[in-house]
Amino acid sequence: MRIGKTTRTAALLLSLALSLSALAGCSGGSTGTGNTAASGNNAATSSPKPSGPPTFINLSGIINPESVTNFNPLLPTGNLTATYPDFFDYVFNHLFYFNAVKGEIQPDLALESSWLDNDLTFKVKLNTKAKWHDGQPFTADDVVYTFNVLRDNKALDLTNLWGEKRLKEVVAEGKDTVIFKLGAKFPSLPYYLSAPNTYIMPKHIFEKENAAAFQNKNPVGTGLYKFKSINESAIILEKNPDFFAGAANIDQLIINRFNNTASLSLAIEKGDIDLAAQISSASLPKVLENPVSKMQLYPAPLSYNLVMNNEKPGLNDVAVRRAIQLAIDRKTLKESTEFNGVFIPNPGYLSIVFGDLVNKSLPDNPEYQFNLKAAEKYLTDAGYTKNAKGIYEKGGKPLSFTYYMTANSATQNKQGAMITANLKEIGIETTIKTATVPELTKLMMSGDYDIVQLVINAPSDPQAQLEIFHSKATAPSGTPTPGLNYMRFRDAEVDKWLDEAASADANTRKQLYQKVQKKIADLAPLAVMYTVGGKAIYRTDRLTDLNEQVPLTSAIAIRTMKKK
Amino acid sequence: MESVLRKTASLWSLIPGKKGKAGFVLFVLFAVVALLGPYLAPYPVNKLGFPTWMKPSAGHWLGTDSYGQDVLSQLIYGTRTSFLVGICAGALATVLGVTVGLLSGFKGGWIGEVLMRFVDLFNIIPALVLLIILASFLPSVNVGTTILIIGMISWLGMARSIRSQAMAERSGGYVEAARMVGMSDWEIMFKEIMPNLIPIILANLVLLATGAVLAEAGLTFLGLGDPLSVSWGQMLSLANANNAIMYGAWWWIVPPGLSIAFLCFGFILIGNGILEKYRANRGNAAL
Amino acid sequence: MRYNSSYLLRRIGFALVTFFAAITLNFVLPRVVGGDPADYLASSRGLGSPETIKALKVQFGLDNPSLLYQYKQYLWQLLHGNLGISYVNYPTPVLEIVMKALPWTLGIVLTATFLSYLLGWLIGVKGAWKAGSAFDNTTLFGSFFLNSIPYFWVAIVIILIFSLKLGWFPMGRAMAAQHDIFTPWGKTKDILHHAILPVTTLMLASIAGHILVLRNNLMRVLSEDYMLLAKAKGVSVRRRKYMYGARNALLPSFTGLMNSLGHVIGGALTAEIVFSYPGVGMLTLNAVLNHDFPLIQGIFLCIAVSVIFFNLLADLIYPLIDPRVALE
Repeated sequence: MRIGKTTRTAALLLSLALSLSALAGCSGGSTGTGNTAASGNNAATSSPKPSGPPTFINLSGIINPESVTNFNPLLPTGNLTATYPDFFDYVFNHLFYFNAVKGEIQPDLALESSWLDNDLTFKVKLNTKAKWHDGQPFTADDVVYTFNVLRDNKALDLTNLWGEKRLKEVVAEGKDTVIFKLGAKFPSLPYYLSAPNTYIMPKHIFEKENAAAFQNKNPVGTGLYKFKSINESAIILEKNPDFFAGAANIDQLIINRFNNTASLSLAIEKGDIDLAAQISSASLPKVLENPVSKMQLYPAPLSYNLVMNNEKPGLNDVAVRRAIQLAIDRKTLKESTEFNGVFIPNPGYLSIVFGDLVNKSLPDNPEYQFNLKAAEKYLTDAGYTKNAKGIYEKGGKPLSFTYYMTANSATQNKQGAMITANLKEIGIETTIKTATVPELTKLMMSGDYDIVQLVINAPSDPQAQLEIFHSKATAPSGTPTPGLNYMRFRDAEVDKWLDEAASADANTRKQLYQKVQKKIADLAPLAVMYTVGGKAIYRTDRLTDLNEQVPLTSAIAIRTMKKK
Repeated sequence: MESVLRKTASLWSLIPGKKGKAGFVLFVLFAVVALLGPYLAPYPVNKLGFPTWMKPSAGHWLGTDSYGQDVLSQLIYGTRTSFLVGICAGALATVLGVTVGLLSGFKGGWIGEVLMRFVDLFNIIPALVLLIILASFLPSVNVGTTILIIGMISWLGMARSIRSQAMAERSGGYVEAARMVGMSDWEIMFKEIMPNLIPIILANLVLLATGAVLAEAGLTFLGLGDPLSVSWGQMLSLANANNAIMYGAWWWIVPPGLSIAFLCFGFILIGNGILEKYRANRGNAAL
Repeated sequence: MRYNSSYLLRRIGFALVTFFAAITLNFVLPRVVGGDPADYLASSRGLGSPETIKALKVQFGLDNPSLLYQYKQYLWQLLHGNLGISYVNYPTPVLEIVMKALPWTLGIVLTATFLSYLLGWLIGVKGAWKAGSAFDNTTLFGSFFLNSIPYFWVAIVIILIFSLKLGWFPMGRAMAAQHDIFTPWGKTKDILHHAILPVTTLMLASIAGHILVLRNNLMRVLSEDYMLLAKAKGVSVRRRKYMYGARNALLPSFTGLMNSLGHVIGGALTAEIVFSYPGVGMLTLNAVLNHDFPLIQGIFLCIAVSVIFFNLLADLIYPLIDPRVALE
């Protein structure tokens, strides 16, 4: 299913982004992370409750047979990290939790943390109330073991945590303290400690296996719910009565499995699902027509863009790129193809989830909004003239580009059709090609493209997000890029600002980021289409005590949630 | 004028059987819609901006879709794509199938064997993979490439059928006579044998066109067709992706499906009519 | 009834050659598409270092770019019954993934194929025997029409009517979410209940072909001289219809059956998607879109084997139905 696929891809990208959001707010220096104790830390309340029929809620996800071949979150593939990351959130815990609604880090298994030794050591005190589902105690050894698995298996360390100038050593200090020793200042570390491949694994189970190829069919975690069973239509989890922050109210989570969003959305509409993280955007209006169905919507650190190869003739002209930027009708994309499940983006690229760091003068500035007349003016001012076919050209070279988009994605293709129709209207000709996401990634890396309509999957740290425009992350067309600067964009000033920001204090950094964003908006190395939205659809007639300060589908929200 | 009428009448009488005539009427109907599409459609093809999910009404006979586009206009423009793909892909497959089939059947021997084994081998690979591989080699996806792709994978059955017929013809006296006159193999194949197989070829062409229309619909449904084209398959795939079922929008689901069905039905009736006549003429040739 | 040994050898030899060609093709085709899973995986996380990419390549056996080397590895592994390890689902063996999905596809498609063959056979015989009757014309037209409908559309319409409007059947999937707590009988009923709509769709998709083939063959057989002779000799209608006619008309339609059985694995793709059914269809589409070479190869190997096997089976059974075949 096309839309299923997109949404799945989007979900994958989204989940990655969220987990790496982790890296967000390098700016804050994450000083405050140690100060707040784990919220609601009164485990005493989980006394045995009067027995009755077990309470349960129905969740749902796109869960193909291929994505439940292992329950090992350390692995980059074959598990639910990409398709239904909430599963791991329910069964396991990180040291820190990234709250996607607020864009903040909060402690999870960590009780408190502090920077020592001129910020080259990060000390984490663990919540020793935590216990493994099989009754074994949770200790610092488990944490050390988990990080050492990443160190010893490069293929698992996808965030390059053990890279140069990052982690040097992770050691236990007694049963309840872990020391992270760093090669250089690395203030974003806590964000990395909430990435999907840093869920803490039980040493006593994993050490008997090869952790890099362990399928972990019967996952044992410290999480709010225990894995109970799986069949072709559902994964069933049951409450962990010993959860360290206090057990959940709801006895069972029934995670309904679907293989495409159309089917999933039908189930939501029919009322089979109480709480859903994934839904096809097209079904939003219908589902929300029901007065008891509500949606929680928050911006993700992720956007769909027209990625342009700034080295290609035509696209190396900023006037042409600006014209393309102005030819995208974002309002229509948002309203009539995404049904308001996305956000109007920041033309300076940085996702609006980053709040204060976003250059507020950009998102609503008409200078960057849909305007075909202004777009055409950019072209005529730059000396382009229309040829017999109605295409602008200069020096006999018409503005004609190949335009790639994702195969097998109805919504993406519809959006591409709308955009290319507008481009044609301003006299820019496109030849549409479709390719799968791996192929598109390959094309972008190699520079063998003109325009690609896709997400750039940068880590959610604003620094890393903006570094996709740094010249160190690019290479000439024909050579694979070492980073995410697929645009082949080079600007000395942007480089300088970003380098300065990497070690600057929070305030300076903020100002530098604003300058970078303005420049990106003006030079348009890529054109942002919309910012992806994180969603939770829930039934107000069945659920109460909804904590909307975090994603409703998160373990934190579900812990306090009650069924009516 | 009169001569046109007479010609039409004689053409009409050429179409075999009542079913064949019924099929031809359907065919002509769709052909007219395909040709005159822009004049018949009430609105420009991709005009957005109507309210979404409108039920059929006087202003929109078939309502509007999730993007606020007029479904009837889409349906009318879509006729063109489906028609074009059907005819062209069918023709392409026919050319390939006839050539390979004749060559293999007439030449026989190892050439024939090798060609047929080749056909067998390609029969094994699922069409889906072949489609994706072919698509990745082509410079861009548009109606032309869709035609090319479908044409290139659907000639296999035709080659078989032509081969068996050609093998039967090979032993015919007229082939021997042509040889005596000194005609080359190619001449014999295409000038002597092929004319005898015209009804079979025509029938196959029409049936391949059916297959092509359905393949285009399936391909587009899987998201592997031309994303820009307005076609019946594209309408269905968008309807499914945008949960038309949930909205109870039968007016977006039923018309394209029925259009595909009736166009193909027309093709099949024509093909069947030709085959029946051929059978009757030749006395139960095994087809 | 007797096998001619050269016939037998030729058939088996051909099956083996085809098999070898198929596995070679199977190796080549996915690689033609391109796209390296290691690059993709590493770049999709944005931070993958060159070492990570290298480690991933080693893990997937892509570190040696020589195609010949990869081909040898592939054949060697195949020889040991190892279909390799999925890229996108590492470290799960392809066999495990395919085996999880295969039963569901086989279940619905085999059921649908046999039911539609049986029904098609009955309708075809009845129609041909009374050629030109109202029944014959109705089924003929009906079959033509059925052959004209895209079957994913049938699936959509069936869901619209029987699940959404009438609520008689579930909207998709293979079982209820709470399946595990049912009794064994309840589980069976649950699975059957979920399978009815997909099976019906697939039946509608294939029945017309069977009706038409059988009807045409029978018509041909009925006009043969020996049928007239049998009638003249006073052989009963029933005997003539089924023993003489239908049996001789069986051979070509048998080919059709074997052919559809061979394509059983790939045959339900769009229906599985519409019904969210956990079969091979979605698996194939996702594997292709993700460039999961080993998984694609595994699925196609299964398809190739089933096509070749059923063709061989057909070749071996033909002589039993029609002894003339083996003497050719």
